[in-house]
Amino acid sequence: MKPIRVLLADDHALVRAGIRMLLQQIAGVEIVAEASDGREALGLIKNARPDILIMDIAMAGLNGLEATARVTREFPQVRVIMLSMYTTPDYVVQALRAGAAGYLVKDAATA
Amino acid sequence: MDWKKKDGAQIVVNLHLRTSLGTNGGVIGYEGIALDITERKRAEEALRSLSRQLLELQEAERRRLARELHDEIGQALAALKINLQTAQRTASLYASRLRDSIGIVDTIMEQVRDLCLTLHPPQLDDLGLAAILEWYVDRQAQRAGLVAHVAMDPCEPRPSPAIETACLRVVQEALTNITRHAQARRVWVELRSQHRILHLRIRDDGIGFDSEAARQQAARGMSMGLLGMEERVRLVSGQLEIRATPGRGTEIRVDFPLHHQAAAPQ
Repeated sequence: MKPIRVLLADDHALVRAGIRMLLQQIAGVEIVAEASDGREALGLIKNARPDILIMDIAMAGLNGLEATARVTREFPQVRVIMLSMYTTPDYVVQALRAGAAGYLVKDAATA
Repeated sequence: MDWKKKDGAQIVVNLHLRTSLGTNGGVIGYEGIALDITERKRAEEALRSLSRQLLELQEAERRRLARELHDEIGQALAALKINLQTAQRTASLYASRLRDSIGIVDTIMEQVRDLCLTLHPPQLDDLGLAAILEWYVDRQAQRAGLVAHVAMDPCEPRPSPAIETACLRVVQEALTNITRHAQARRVWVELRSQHRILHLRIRDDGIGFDSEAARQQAARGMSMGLLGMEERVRLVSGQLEIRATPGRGTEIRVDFPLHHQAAAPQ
């Protein structure tokens, strides 16, 4: 089976490292690139060709919401999963409106 | 009232006048005292300005601390939790200890969230007043075992950050008082924007209190909550009214004029 290609974008290196470790344990998932803000993620998509972009909602530079809107417009084949520290419902609504396919709270329990 | 002195200087006076009546009961003149209160007025204005500056500084500091807590400590804790969860998957020998550790991280994260909320919720700047109040009231009510009825108008155009912060502080103070003293079961919070006035109403069905006695206590320095609320509201040209009767709940009514866009606490 073809592995699921993941691009990881978060401005907190520690969080990125944690998620990378977590995903590396899952068979069939391959991390193809990492970015520390939305702009960098957008720049990487063309070459890295991810299936999924896991991206933090709040980043300096181009934030996750703005980047999601651009990704879903320019690369509709890429599914965006929004990462967030916030549990406020309005953020979830904003993320879904921007085109995110999912919303994941950072301290959620692992399955 | 404003007077002009002989040398042209403007002064503020407090005027006490009474009419002098003649023997037939007709007015024959006025006598009175004019007290120059220019200095007192100046001192009052200086005090008000100082008070505003202090609040501004305090809010700026709270905002900075909340950001730091959320962005740095919160994220580091999230990373720590993810790592512990990863370790838990592989190290069955230490599973129970890791589970405990994850529990500890969860508790700290909840405390950090609470601190951020009390200091200055970062969500207020992003989402605006109505969204954050609705979420905040529901969350606090749930914890205190209260039933909350929340009605929020989307505020368009958005009030100034100073008014948004003042509203949040009033709601925080009111909910703290309700939880601590009111023995209430229900709380109603309403935010309406009409004719360029923002109306905030907080009502509970608790035991109420003697608002005059509370105010006198506050004036003697025994409780700063009510005075602090009034001061914050006044600094953004708002009006606050507390209707409380022993045994019949409490209602706090605050009105803010929306044209007020002065640089004040943010």
